[in-house]
Amino acid sequence: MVFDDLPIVACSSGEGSNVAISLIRFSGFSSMALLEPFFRRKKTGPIEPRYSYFAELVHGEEKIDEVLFTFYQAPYSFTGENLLELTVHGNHLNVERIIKLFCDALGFRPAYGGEFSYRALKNKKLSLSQVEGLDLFLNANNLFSLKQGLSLLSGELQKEFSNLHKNYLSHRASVELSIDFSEDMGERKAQKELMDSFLLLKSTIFSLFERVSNELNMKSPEIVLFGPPNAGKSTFFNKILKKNRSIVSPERGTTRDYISESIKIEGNHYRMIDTAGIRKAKEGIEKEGIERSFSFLKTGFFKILLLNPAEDNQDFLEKIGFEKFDILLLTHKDQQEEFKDIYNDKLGDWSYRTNLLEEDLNLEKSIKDRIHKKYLKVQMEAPIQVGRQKESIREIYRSCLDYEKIILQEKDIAVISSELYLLGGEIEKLLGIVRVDDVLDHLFSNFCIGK
Amino acid sequence: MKKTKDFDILVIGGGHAGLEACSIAGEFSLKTALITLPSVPIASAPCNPCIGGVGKGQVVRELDALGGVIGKLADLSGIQYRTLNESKGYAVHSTRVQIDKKLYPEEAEKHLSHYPNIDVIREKVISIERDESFFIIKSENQNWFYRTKKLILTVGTFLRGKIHRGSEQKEGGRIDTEASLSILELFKGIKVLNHRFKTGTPARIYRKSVDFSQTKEQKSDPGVLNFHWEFMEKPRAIEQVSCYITETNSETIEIIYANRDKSPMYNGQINAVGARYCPSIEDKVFRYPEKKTHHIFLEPEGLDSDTIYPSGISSSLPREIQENFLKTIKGLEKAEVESYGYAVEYDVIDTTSLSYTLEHKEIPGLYFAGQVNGTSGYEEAAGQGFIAGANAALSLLNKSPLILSRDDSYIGVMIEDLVTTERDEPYRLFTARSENRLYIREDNAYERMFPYRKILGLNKEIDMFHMEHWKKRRLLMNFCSEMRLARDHSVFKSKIFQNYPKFDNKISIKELIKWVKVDMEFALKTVLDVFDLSVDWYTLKSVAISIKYEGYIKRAELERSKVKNLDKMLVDWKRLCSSENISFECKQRIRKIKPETFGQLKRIKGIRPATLAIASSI
Repeated sequence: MVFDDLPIVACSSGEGSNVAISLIRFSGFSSMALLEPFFRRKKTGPIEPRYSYFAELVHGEEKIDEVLFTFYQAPYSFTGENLLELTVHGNHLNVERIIKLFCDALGFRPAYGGEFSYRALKNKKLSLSQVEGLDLFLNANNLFSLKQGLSLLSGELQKEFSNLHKNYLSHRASVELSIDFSEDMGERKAQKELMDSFLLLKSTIFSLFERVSNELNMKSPEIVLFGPPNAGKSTFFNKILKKNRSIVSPERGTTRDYISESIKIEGNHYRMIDTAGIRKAKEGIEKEGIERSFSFLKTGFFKILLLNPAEDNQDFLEKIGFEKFDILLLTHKDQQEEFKDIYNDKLGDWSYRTNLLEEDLNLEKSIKDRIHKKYLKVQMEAPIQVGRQKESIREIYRSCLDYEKIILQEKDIAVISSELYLLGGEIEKLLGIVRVDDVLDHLFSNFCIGK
Repeated sequence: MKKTKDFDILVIGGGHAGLEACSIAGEFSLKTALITLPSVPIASAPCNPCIGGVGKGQVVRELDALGGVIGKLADLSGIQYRTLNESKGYAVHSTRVQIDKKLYPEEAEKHLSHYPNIDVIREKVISIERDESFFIIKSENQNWFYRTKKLILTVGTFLRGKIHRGSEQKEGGRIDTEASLSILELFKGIKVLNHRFKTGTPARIYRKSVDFSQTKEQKSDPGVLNFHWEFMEKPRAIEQVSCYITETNSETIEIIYANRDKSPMYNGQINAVGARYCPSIEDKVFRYPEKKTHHIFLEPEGLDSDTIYPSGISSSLPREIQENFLKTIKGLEKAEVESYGYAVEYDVIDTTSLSYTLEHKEIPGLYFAGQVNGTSGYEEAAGQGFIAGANAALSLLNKSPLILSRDDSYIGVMIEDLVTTERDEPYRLFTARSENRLYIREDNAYERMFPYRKILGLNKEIDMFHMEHWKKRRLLMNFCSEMRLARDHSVFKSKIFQNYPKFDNKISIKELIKWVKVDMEFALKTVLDVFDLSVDWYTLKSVAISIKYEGYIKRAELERSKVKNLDKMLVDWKRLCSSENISFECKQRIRKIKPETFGQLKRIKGIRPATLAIASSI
């Protein structure tokens, strides 16, 4: 992604529908004096930065809108450049007309998605992890993501990464110490220093790794309904949502693809997904559906396995292997006892039995409670959510395991040191000590205009 | 009326840097002079009586392979040989040799006397002036002044040197000589660092007063290869002796602790920066008061010498206190002091004003080398002296300069570090300073220096030796990669290989050697014996070790090439300094150095990761 330095403009409050007011932002213009002729104020006088002014937006003699504007002078703005925030009436035709006016008259260019944040990063108003935090913050569907987004924005996670780097450096130093100064220091002391500092580094890496080791997508956590055909997934889905969203039919394999709906529990948004029934697929499309439903098992936040004890579930259970579920829901209340033993070892630590055809006042509440509890638990563990950071931490972890083998087995310290260098490279990547262009490409193509 | 003597190259300062500089200049048959103070022997060892050490042994072997003299002199006067880091892998093996302090300078003078084109002038320099393309040097000599095209300053600690011992103070660079002039008086416009450097030395003790029975003996290791190429397969030049180890105890520490106010370093009398890696005993005590035992190496200063150098307790405390704390140490209870320890503070020139040839960027023809550049150590000084001397000669002869890369030599590492970054403490080489430690080893110094020796364009005996070694090495290497053995080959009957796993087809000798992991030179020797081949020991060892590290070096090279690309990336330091997210200290350092590439930025001392992260994103 190659950007120029032209002044840019964009509507920051969302486009497309008619709303009462919209916010248009301008960044990177050389001086406020260029824009001043477009604003007719009642009182004249200099425009002070960071003050709001009411004015008529005019083009020559023509009045275009009544607006509120605030000027932020470089470098004290979000982007670090001269920045103007303009609040206008929200009709999208009006917004488009105003943007076009400034493009034609003053050479502004419509901003690309994410470009305001890009400039903030470029001008060091935000660090890479802060921009990633901003992305999370803006696109958060739940309080958790909102919180981590904010924590990234305020640089807290960056501090933890810096701590990791510090521990790496101190281990690196102890390796060098044992080469260059073991005579001064004494061999035993040098060796102890080496192992102590490694253990500290390892524990730092392992605790970060724990925070990325689950595949949970916390940006919009998914509740996944999984089970063999006719287990009652769609019935349950509808019951919980109290909507007739899925096609319900007694014929096997009616739900061909997954169907998802948004559901709100204790203030957090989830996506509830009804997966396709798993059985030997005869049609291509159904096979694809089955594959997709398996992929939800990997990323799903809360996994519910539904089984009808009246059916023969042996094949199905073999197929799912050792996937872990959060709930086993036995969908027909009768004949419970004899099935208990078959499933217990394999499936979750909690099961619930219900007859879906009957009213069960407890069902919805129990399941929602369970989901919220898990949510709170995961939140405590504060998993790291930004994709690049996750991948980078996984690499560090893998590299650390390799290194551990070497440090325990290898006698040649120069070889140990060369291996440690590889681990160091991964850690520096996490901190952003690399050319970030490719990272930025990935980042900015995935999210839309900033703060 | 004074008469003029003309020289091509003139070196001021007869220490280890000055010796190498005029010796290599002498090799080029240029008219060379060395001016040095009358009272000081050439290339004497005013501090530790030893040559080599971790990182430094590598430099000595590099110099020897380039045609320097330090290795030869060390061998001629070597009284104890050791390999440091012996248990830690070949790449970090380093040779250290204790030398006879009297013999070493004698050999140095003998060496210089072989060159008819080198004049040794023992006079004190009074002034240096520039006259178009000449430097004019005036000394105390009434009859002559000297004119030279190239001038190399290797004046050590003599620039406004000041000696401290307790409250005693004296002008001078060493206790036994007088001070030199300030560099500012010699040349206007040469930048010295704002801060002065400090170094120190311990008391010397009479050998007969030490009770060695209470210490641990450390014998000379006969397995260590001599430094000098001509002596490679020869026995030691002189008799070998032992060193002894003892240590401080809580009583020692208490005495020093109680006399803080008498320590020039701690009562404010000295206002200079000492090296963190070579602290005085006062430093050790005040910085780490909880540590009671510090190793002391008792090193004989020569075969006939009656003194011992106690390494590890350099001190500038008053005489009586030095005497008191010495007597608390095991084996030194009855120690008699021959001379007391002292500290020296001195001026250091700003090496960022030098180019990679060690020539001053603004005063062509003027070179600096050695401790005046802020380094410590005879080996570091010698390395720079060689580079300055060789380049002064090459430049006179209009040949391309000799610049060693940091990728293949510790000398290259040192010079790049010096000329790209400002030092804030005395500079010593560590292996940690190199990014390419697996390759820059003692055993392959000839291989590494061969191309550089060619640049010098001298056709001497050492060049024949290089050629021959290079051919042997290549032959042996090819043999190891091309000769392939089946499992039933008689090689596998030898003890060392009999447990080699079964395989079909054939494997190369390389693969076989790699499998051994330890004692690879012995493994290779075993194979060669089976084939009834014989190669000299150092070629064999060098090839065996190269085979061991081959894979690691390749991978490290790959990693470094990534880093190198990043290092080449241009950075805009002005813009960095305008960033709000960079700390004030970092900005100050950046403004001073004005880095143009990411690599230069990275090497500035004290630059934080956050700053690098920001720079890499701009």
